[in-house]
Amino acid sequence: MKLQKDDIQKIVLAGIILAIVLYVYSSMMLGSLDSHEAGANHDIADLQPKVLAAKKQLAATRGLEQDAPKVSERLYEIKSLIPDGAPIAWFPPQMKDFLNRQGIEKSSIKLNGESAVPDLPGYKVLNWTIDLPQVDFVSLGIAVSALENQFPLTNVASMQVDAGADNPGAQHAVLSINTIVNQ
Amino acid sequence: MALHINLYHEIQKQERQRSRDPLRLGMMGILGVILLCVAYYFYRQHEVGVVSDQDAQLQAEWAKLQPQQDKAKDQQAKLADDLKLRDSFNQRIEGRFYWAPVMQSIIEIVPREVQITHMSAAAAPMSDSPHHSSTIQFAGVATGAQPRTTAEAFRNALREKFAKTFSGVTSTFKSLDDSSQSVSVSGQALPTVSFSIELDFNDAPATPAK
Repeated sequence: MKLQKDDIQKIVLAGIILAIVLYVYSSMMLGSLDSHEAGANHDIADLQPKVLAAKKQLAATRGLEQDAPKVSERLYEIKSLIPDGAPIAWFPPQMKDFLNRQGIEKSSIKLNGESAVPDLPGYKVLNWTIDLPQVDFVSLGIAVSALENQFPLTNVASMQVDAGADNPGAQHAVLSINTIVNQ
Repeated sequence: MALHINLYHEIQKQERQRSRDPLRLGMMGILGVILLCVAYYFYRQHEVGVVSDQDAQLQAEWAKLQPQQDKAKDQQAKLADDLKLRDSFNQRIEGRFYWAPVMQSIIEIVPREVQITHMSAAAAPMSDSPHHSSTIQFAGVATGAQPRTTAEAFRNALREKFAKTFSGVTSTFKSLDDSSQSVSVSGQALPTVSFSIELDFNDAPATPAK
């Protein structure tokens, strides 16, 4: 069968139409889908680690929250050991009362200095000297034991005990103690 | 044999030519290609729809999680601070050097032939461990038939007593001098010596003797 000129023109026209249709199809229809899919994939790749991290964060926080009541309770207990106000106003009377309860009547308490505590933000350590001009060694030992048990934020840094010249049963003791207070 | 004459051969030829019309065949081909394209388009649309749904789902989840995460971060920071503060307090409270057992030991081992006239004691945290290094200096008077032996026995007793509880125990004389004074024990005048002993130890638990 021999193609006529008219037929060839029609075939060329059909080819041109097909090429245009394919171009429009691939660039506009498929292209739009591809770009939409690429955008969605990019979002997914971006969001998936974020969502995972957020879930891990929530799980870690929930884990910590389980211990939170115990931590808060312990901190409340510790903080309640520190009275409000200036330590110079409450610490010496508190110590004098304590020593009186231990049967040590004569005492003087002086503030020596203070130092920062890097691991306890908001708190500082005060250094005090407790002078006990007349105390026997056994009573002193009992008082130190009670001090260590009843005042967890206080520790004895050093002590000096001298025998009394005229009364060997009554020693002169000087304690250097540190206590944690609010800054 | 009967003679068969096809009077419609012209019409049939035209029919055959029409069915082989390249334009018609081309149009059918184009239609087929278009149908394939449309089918592929719907297939791709479905695929992209699945991805879009997943994306939308993640977006919604993230929108819900992000404020929770921010809140959790703040909460976690606060809890971590509280936890650190509690641990620091606990470490300080439990890491104190306790003098009461030390004084108890001293009371237990000072014999009646020894009088301590001065005692100074200090404890300081050790740089390389959570324990404390302590030094106690004793000054006193010892008496007995052999007062130097009494003083030596006291020095050894200090070392042995503290070695049961503490580590790194050393007990050394800083001085041991005869004294011109004598004391009366059970009505008997006995010579005395004055001594000075330094006792060093740390509050790490004692290692059992091998």
